Order: sequence, then structure tokens, then C-alpha cells
Amino acid sequence: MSTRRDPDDILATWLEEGPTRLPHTARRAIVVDARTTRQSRRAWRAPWRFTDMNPAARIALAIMAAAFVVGGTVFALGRSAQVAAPTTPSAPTTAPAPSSGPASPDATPCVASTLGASSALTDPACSFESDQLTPRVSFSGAPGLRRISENARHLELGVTTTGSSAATGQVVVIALVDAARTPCDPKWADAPVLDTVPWRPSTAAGGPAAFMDILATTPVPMDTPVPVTIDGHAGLETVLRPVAGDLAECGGFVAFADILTSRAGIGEGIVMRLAAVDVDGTTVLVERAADAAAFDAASDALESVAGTIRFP
Amino acid sequence: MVAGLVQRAMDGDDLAFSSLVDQEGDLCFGVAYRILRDVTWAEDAVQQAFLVAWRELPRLRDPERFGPWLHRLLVNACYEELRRHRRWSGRVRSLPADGPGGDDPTISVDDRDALDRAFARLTPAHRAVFVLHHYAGLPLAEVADAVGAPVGTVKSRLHHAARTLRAALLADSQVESLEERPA
Repeated sequence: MSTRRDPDDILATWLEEGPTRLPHTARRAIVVDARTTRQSRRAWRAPWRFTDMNPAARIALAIMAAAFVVGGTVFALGRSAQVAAPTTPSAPTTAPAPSSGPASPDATPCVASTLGASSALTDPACSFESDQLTPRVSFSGAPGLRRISENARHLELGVTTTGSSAATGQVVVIALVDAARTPCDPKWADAPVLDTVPWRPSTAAGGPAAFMDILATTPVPMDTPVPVTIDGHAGLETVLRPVAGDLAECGGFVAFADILTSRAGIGEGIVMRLAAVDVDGTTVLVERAADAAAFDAASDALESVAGTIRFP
Repeated sequence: MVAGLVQRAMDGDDLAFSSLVDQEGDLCFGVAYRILRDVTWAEDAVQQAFLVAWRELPRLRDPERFGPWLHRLLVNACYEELRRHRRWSGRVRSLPADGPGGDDPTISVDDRDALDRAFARLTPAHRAVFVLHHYAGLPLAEVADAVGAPVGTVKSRLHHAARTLRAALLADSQVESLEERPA
């Protein structure tokens, strides 16, 4: 007969598990940030407190202040209208309308690292080139495009559409170097290292077709792979649509590859259009993914970004 | 002593700020990791919180309030990380830097799994309250300050979070006892 520990003990122990020390690299990055970032100016105004005033005086002062602001604004607007009246209106600016389509061939070259995770690209007339991922990848901008992360194995772009059907999705390019040995394995949720096999298209076990064959052995519902080319590189493409419960036997997640800091794969509730193409000996995965509820709304924007991908 | 460092950092002394990072960084990281359950996201959240702290320090009125103020920045940074990654959290998982060596062997894999799943279902606000109180050991008033909610709301969130996690453990133990029962 086994005795069971008190749930609160287990909870407390579980909460204590995990890292407790800020990694040195992060600590160093914070200090460097501080050295290179200007501080805000000290607030010049007095604290917003009227501790010595009675309520009636506070209200009277507030009314006077409001009247002063309104009066001053009316006066300033009146003066600026008098000054502006004689001038000739300038011609309207002919700024290009935002487009979600591919940028023109003469788009300004930009380095991908200049596209931040939190600062979305607003100017679509800009083409980017990865600075870490191998093989090199270039892509053109679309409004709402963000670079979420990049390393030698993957480049992850976020795309947020605007308008009534606003949606968010991602385009991910992955160099398949170390593939998951057994993609459907529930231990991936806790294992410190993804169990991988080297992936080389030159061997019998490699290449886009072999990748799709492995995917077909998992419980992920997938469309029949169809031929595709990306920037002239041939491969296969499918759509994956695992819903809740589909991946229960895999711990809710099917792993594709080790991308150094994380593992790439698909979880339940995600729709992913996934292409695997051969780029000069490397199997490259191009994912367009979003939450199932948002995929249709985001699809056009995702495809427009993916359509600009080149392997220079 | 901390107030002195804060005062110097407010005046632009980056060495003093570096000392504050040394003093507060580990706790911030521990809190962020437990709210976010991801090492990389936690690092990003801590970095963001300290960056905002450095930038806005001159506007801090009372150096003695640096701790609660920093916790509030950290919680907001964690919320932002969760918002940013919510769409992809099921797709890509980061590896804990400490590896499994940090896990307590007295907790079964099933219990850990049940708690991980239950915690993932909690809202960011519930996670933050639970971690700040039970991991960082902050009193309810300071938790309320950090999450920008009344103490009553904090108590309610804490109760809900604890109940959800205990229920996950109990459900798990019932499954275990059924499996152990002889046929």
C-alpha cells in the first residue's frame, strides 16, 4: 500500500522546482542595456497632492485651471488660423498605399535583425535578409510584420493583420539539421534534450519526402502532401490541423526538430501549412501557422510574406 | 542600503543599478519563470522589466518603494510575454536551463504533469498572484500592489488558483488509486 503526500506539500515542492538564478548572459544584457539607454528626465512638476487644501478650494482651483486651459487653447487656435489662412495648401503627398503583397524588386535592402519583436514593420517597401539562419533567407515586408526570434536553425516571423478581421499568425523557416527521432513522444514535454537524428537529404533517410513520411506516422491529421516549389526549390507541402485530443498520446505536442533554444513542432489547436523543400542539400521547412480560429483570417497575410521568401 | 543604491541609480549611476540587478535579479527571474514556465520568456521578461526600471527610475518618487514598483513592472512584462507568445505556446517549447536535475524526485511524473497542465490553464493574473504569494513570499497587500488589483480580488484569485491546482492533484491521485486497485 502506498501513502500519498499532502497536496499542499507537493504544490510547494513543485513551485520550488526549476531555475532560480538569472543566467549570466541575461544579467549582462541588462547591464549593457542600462549603459546604452538614456534615463527619462526627472518629473519637473510637484507631486499631485493638495494635502493642505479643503475640498471646496480644490474644486475652485480645478475649475480655474480648466478655464485657463480652454481659454488658452481657443486663443492659440484663433491665432494659428489667422496665420495659416493666406498660405497656399500644399499638394497631397503621394505615399504608396500599404500593400500586403510582395515588395517591389527595388525594395530597400534591410537586415533582419533590424526588424524587432515588438516593433512591427509599417513600411512594406523593405526587403530583409536573415543574419543568423543558414541557409540565408530573404523576405519582404508586410504591414504588421515582426521578427519574433532567429538563430542558426530558425527564423520566426509574426504577422498581424489589421481591419475588421484582425488576426495573428506566424511564418517560420527552419533548417532541418537535427530531426526528432520519434516525433510523437509524450516525454518531450519534460525532457531536457530532444532526442534527435542528424537529417541529411543525401542519405536515404533524408529529404522532404522522407520528412512527410515520418509526419504521416504521427497522429497529426494532415492533407496528402502535394508538390511545391519555393524560390525554385522543389519539395512537398501539406496542411496540419490537430484539434484538442488528437495528440493526447504524444503529450499534446508532436516535435519536428531541434532549433537550439526550443523544439519546433505542432500542438493541438494550431493550423499549419507546412512545406518541406530541398535547398542545396538542406531540408528547409516553411511554416505558416496560426490558431485554428484565426488561420483563415491570417492566411492571406501569411502567404504574402511566405511568397516573398528567397534563398539568396 | 537598497534605498541608497536606488537613489544613486536614479541619479544615473549604472554601477549602482548593476548592483540592484545583482540583488533583485534572481528573485525576479524565479518569479518570471514560474509565471511563464519558460526560461527564454522569463529572461526576456526580466530584461524588459529592468530596462523599463532603469529608464523610469528618475520618476520614482520614493526610493523605498523600489521593490514593489519593480515587481509591478515585472508582472506587466510577464503579461506582455504571455500575450506575445500565446499563439505559439503549443507549438514551440523552450527547454529549462537547469535541466531535470532541479526536479524533486519525491514528486511523481504524473503529479508534475497534472500540475503543469492545470497551471497552464490558469489566467496570467491567477498565475502571478499564486507565484508572488507562495513562491516570492509577498504579503497579500504587496501582491495587490504588484498586480494592480484590490486585496479582495487577490484573495479570490489566490483561492481559485490553489483550488484548481489541488483539484488537479486529487484527480490525478484518484486515477492512480483506480489503477492500483486489484482486478
